[in-house]
Amino acid sequence: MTRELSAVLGYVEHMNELELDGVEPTARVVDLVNVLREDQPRPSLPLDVALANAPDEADGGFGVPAAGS
Amino acid sequence: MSDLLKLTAAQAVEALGRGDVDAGELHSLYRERAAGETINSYVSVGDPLVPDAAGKPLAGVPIAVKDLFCVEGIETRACSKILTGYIPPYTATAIARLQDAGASYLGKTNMDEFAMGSSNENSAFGAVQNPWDPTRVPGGSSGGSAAAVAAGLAPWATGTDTGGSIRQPAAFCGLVGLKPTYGAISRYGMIAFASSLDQAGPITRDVTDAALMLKYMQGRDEMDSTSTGMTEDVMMPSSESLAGKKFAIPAPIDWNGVQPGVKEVFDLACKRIEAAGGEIVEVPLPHADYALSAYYVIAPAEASANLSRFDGVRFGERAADPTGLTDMYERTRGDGFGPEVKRRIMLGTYALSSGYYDAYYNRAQQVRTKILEDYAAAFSSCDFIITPTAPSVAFGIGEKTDDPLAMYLGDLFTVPVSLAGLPAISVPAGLATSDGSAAAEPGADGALPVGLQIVAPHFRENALLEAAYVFEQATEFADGPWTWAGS
Repeated sequence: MTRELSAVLGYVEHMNELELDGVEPTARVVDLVNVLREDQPRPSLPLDVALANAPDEADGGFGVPAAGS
Repeated sequence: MSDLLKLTAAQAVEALGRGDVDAGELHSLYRERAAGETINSYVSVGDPLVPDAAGKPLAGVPIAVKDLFCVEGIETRACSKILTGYIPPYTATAIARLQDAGASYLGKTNMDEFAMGSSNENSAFGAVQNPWDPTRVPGGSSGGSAAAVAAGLAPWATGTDTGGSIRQPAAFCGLVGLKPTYGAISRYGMIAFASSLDQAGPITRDVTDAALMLKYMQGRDEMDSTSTGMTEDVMMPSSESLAGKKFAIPAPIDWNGVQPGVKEVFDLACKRIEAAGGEIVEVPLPHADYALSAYYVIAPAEASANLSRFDGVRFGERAADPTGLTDMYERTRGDGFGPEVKRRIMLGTYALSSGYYDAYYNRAQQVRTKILEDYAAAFSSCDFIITPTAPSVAFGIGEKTDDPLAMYLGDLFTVPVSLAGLPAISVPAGLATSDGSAAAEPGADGALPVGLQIVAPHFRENALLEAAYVFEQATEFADGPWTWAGS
């Protein structure tokens, strides 16, 4: 795994050849601005459906082992 | 029976509409073939019952669905161990739209785990055989979808494409694969890999079917805020000429990394484009050479964030008998993810870490800007950009599994297009010998398909499909394995 990761990191160093000072980074390609819908309540998943896939359930929520141990 | 297998989806829709074919019979034929297949292209097969689709535009034509799409009530794992037992409470918008239009659900197809791979060998369900040659990969990550369609186990299938995962398997299996413009199709219910790149699309036997599937998949969806839908209605292609159209070959292409047989088929494709009235020109894409580097930073970075949700708390498999929360996270993820997924999570986490963020992630996003600028300039002097879809024919199962970087380099023609979010299609262009050394005639022993990639400006899918359709008509591409099957 170490060798493979080093090979990939070595390859991407290729980008360092480019002069990119002042170039704006692109995070998304389609020009969109957020449009927020009206904040109106609507139905969501019922609790039992939302919990149906959980490996463990506790008190109507997701059950997990104790933290900090 | 075998005649039914030869129908494309569009032909099947017509035959169903005329009453020449019964939807239940067509569904049963494919479902039985899917249940009895031997190439491992399906991971599960759906219900034998066919919902009534009479009068609907897709008239009950069966469709295979990549395991990356959530389907309500059907185990959906993205072919990962970590999602064992996950039953989604909802269906992905793209699939729901196809079902609403009358497509009948056939089953889930195999894929590289979380769509990370180019060979379908990174699947918790094992490798898939290419129907053209069972010792070879079908490509990836939508390898099961492509293999199923090529083998006559589905009339068509959905795929997803992040860096080439629709186009490359389509090319390796002698099919049409369309990656639409980023945003054309909703990503809601698609298990996320790299959210700024992921896009659903069709894998089909011909260009008309690709247009037909796109027509009923696309559209704005309020559940995916990056979806826009198409800016124009999808038209069924019908052009007969490429007159007045400029097809540009990007310069420079380093042909040293491309098999001679692939180059030969590509050169023949250019001649066919000219014979159909098109003009071949060259355009500079000076930063395309850096696209792979940027992609293998950006995609893993986004993946490392997206895959943090698989932690054994809300869905999927949890490690047995955890001693505490941290132990549960560590062992759940350690046991649940395959090696390629772990590799990409580590790469992505590294590229996003403070101290390295500027050198990797930010720099890769700057390269992305330069690539977008390159394409914008290129499309001011041409209508389409063409390349081979992949630098080689389908390679052998196990051939590249020890060298992830070599596998990544196979994406060199598809990745720049993905970074720019452009629509692109892979169309069968011809055949090459199995060692890729030369072009081959239809029917030649062991010959393997080669795809032509055509790229268009954002939201110009109609123009792209028209061009691909004319090219398809001009290409004497032999029928695929689906016509050999069942005969």
